[in-house]
Amino acid sequence: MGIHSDDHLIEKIRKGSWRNYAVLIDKYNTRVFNYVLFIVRNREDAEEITQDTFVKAFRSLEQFKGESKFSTWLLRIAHNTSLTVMRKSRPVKVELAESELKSLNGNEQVIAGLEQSHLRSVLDEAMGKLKTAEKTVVTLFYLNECSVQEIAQITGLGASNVKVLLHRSRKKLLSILQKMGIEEWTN
Amino acid sequence: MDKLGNNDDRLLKDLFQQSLTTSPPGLSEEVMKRIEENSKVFRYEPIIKPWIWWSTSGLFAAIMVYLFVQLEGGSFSLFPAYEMIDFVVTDGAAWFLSLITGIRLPELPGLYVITMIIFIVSGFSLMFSLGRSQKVSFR
Repeated sequence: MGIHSDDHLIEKIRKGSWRNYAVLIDKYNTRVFNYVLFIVRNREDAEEITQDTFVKAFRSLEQFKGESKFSTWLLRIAHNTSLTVMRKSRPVKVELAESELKSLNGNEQVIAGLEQSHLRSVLDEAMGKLKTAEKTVVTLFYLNECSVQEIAQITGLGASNVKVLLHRSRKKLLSILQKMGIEEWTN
Repeated sequence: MDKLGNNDDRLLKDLFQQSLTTSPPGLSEEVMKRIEENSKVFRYEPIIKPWIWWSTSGLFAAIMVYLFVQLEGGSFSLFPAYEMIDFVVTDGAAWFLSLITGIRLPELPGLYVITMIIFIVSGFSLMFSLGRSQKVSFR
C-alpha cells in the first residue's frame, strides 16, 4: 500500500486526519465532474452534484469496505445523485461555457480537424440524443475508462446487460456523429 | 467489448478524452469547507447532558417552592422571588459562613441545609454545562 494510495489515504482519514480527503478530491474531481456533466448536461447542476458526491462519500467513508476501487464507489455515488437530480429537475438544456473548455489530454492525431471547444459541443450534442442509460455506459467506458464489471457495479446492472447496452449505445453514438458530419474519423 | 480493440472504440475514446473539461476551480476547497461546517455542529457537546441540567434545576425549583410554602405556613407567598433572595442572601449566606468558619448556628432549620446543598450543586452543574465541553468525533 503506497503512501499516496487510495487505501492508505482512506485509512488515515478514518483515523482522524480528515484533511487528507482533499488529496482524494483533487485526484478524482475532474473524472467525476466530467461524468456528471455528460449525464445532466448542465454545468451548474454538475458542479453541485460533484460537490454533493464528495460530501456524501466522506460521510459514508466508514461504509466503504474496499470491495471495489474507491473511484468505482465514488462514481456509483455520483451516478445515483445525478439520477436523483434528473428525476426532480425540469428537462435539461446545454449550458457549456466554451471559454472554460480545455483539453487535458493531448492526443494530436485523431481529431485534428476539430477545435477543442467545438469537439466538446459536437460530442455533447450527440450524447444528448442518447437515453440516460446509454449515456451512462458510454461515458463510463470511454471517459472514465471503466471495465464492464465496474460499470455493472456503478449502475447496478448485470454485466451481460452492460455489454449489450454498451454495444448498442456505441453504434448509436457513431451513427449520430456520422449524421452530424463527423465522418473523417468515424470511417 | 471490454477492451478497446477496434478503430471505432479507439477513436471514441480519443474523442471523449480530448473533450475533458476542467472541473470548477476551488471545488476541493468548497467541499472541504462544507465538510468542516458540518462537523462543527457535532464537534463539541457539554459534559453535563441537558436532561441532567434541566432535571437538577427542576428539582431545585420544586424544593424551593415547597420550602417557601412551608415557611409561609402552608400557603404560597405572593412574592416568592423576593422571599428567595431574602433567604439566600441572609439565612443562606449565614449558614454558609457558619459552615466554613465552624461557628454553629443551632437555630438553622434542616431544610435550609438541604436547600443550600442543592443550590451549590445546581450552580456547579450550570458552570460545567455552560463553560466546559468535550471533543467528540468530527463525523
